[in-house]
Amino acid sequence: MPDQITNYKCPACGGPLNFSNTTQDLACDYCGSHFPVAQIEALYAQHDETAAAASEAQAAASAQQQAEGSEWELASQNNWAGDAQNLVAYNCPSCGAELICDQTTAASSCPYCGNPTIIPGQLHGMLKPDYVIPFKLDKNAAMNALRNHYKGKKLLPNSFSKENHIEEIKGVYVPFWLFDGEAYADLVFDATRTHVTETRNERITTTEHFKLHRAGNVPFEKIPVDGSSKMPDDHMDAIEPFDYSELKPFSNAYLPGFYADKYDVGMEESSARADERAAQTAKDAMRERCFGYETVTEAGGQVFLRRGKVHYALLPVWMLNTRWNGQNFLFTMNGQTGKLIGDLPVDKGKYWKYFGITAVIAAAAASAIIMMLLH
Amino acid sequence: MKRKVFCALCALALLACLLWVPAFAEETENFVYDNAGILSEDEMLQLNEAAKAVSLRYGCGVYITLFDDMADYGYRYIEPFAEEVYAQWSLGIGEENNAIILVMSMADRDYDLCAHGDVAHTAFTDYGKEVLAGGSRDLGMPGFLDDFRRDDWYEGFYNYISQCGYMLDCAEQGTPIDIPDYPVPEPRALTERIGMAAVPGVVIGIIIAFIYCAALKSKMKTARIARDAATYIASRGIWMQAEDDMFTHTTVTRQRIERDSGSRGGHGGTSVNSGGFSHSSGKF
Repeated sequence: MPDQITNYKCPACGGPLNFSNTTQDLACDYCGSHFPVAQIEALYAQHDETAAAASEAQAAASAQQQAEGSEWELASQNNWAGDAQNLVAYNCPSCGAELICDQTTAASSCPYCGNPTIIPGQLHGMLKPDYVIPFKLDKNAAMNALRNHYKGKKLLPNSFSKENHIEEIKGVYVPFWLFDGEAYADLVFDATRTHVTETRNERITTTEHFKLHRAGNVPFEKIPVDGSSKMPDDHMDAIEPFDYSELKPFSNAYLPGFYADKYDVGMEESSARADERAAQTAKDAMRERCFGYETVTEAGGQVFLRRGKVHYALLPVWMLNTRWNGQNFLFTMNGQTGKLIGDLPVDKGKYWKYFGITAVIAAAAASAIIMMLLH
Repeated sequence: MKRKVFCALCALALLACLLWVPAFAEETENFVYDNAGILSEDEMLQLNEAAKAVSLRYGCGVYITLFDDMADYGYRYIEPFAEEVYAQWSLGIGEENNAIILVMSMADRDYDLCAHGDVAHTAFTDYGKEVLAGGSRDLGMPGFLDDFRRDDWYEGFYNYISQCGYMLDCAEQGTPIDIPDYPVPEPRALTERIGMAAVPGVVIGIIIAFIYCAALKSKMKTARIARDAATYIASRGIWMQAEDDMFTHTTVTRQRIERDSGSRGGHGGTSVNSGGFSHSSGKF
């Protein structure tokens, strides 16, 4: 993986190269040339050899440690080293966000709080990502997705969609920790089967009771947990999943034109959420194996986690911020799949209108049916 | 109080029966058959004497037949088994072979009250057989099922014979135990129906509106925390290491089917099948 060269320049004219999310390659803003990422990386690969060797040695040591340990282990601990000189760090004095941009990207406002005054700072003390999923969808796709998001929302205030002007749409590479591991669940369930027979005078309910024992291993690959405290967890969970088949080894070549958020929630802090999700899934998987019963109730047991490698990745998210009636509304779109989510305001007037209409119609229908049944 | 009066009447009826000269004495002597071995010899004799007295007094055999398991005789259901018992043992007295037979299969605690002949069908209506088994608080009559559920066999059989005597006596007097004929109610006026439907209709309408609007409101919130990671289960899949199911025990609940006697106004009487039998069966 090239670690040293990040400020890619056009081999034809020397102008800066930006990653194009439509053609999925590097484009020159000046001469219009397009180059595959791999080709540009290969051009600069010779500069990486020393750093790559050091990185591989570190990864091997980490893998050895992983095999012996039971705690989450970083898959690699690469730092930015020489790459940092071509990146610019920004701090938002309003919300505390720390952002990274390629030198060619003009950072004008904070994508989280909209604060227009963000201050250039120093890039330090941060791991370099292992992977990145490049943006596949552009701003127009995000706007279209937002318009579709409004459709069918009967309680949406008219003024929200009419007056709502998304002032700025920002593409942000959000830092994610991707957890590999395995959960071993050993659980006991109480289950019942019921048979009902009826005689002339009695209804006899016979319930058979069972104890079920289910144990098994549930392996996981890359459970994502976002490492940004500014990005709401519910938003990031809701735009899942990302298509990991398009994960690429991290390269600065994917950054131009976008923000990259610096993680401020470490792997250790994020691991609790990965543990919780893995354990819950293992429990669910064991319960799903209890078929053929009418009731199944968990009665005890344990879930053990075998913690594995943790990868650090940047995943593409479009952020759309707006204000309405003095409130901030955040919409986020998966920059790869186009899944857009975001909570919408409820028009109380519309709510009571629909409530009233439905209540009147349903009451009339119910009353008519009851009257028919009353002779 | 009703129960005491009833018991006194039954005792008098039994005494009268014992003093009465039987018309069918030559026809049969055995009314209690214990193939399950749950009664002592003395109990058998006492019950047989009581059953014989009632049977001969009213011209309708009152029988008790007990079996370990009807499955031993190739039957899964108690009703055809009871008919077979009646036929094979040539039960019943009089020209029509009138009989009321209590057939019990102890293995699964099945019972059947099987009646045959006009005298029996008149005295033991469908409702009457239900009362005979389960009792009736309104009529002050105890049922034998309560005794059997306590495994109080002798008391249960004694109640059965006593009640049979009482019901045969009622039938003889032209007032068999049956559902009273309730008059068919007049159709309700439209205003009354509207009044009765309005309140529940409004309540149902409000509930439906609440559910509908809650569904609309839930669409407005799309940001949600993920609780599981099912999407991220590795392609090699789940490896199950134990899948054991162990049966522990069985519980049985019995619920008496309440029949709304008011709604069956004018629908009393006895349901007789093509073989000339009427039944009332269940578990004890």
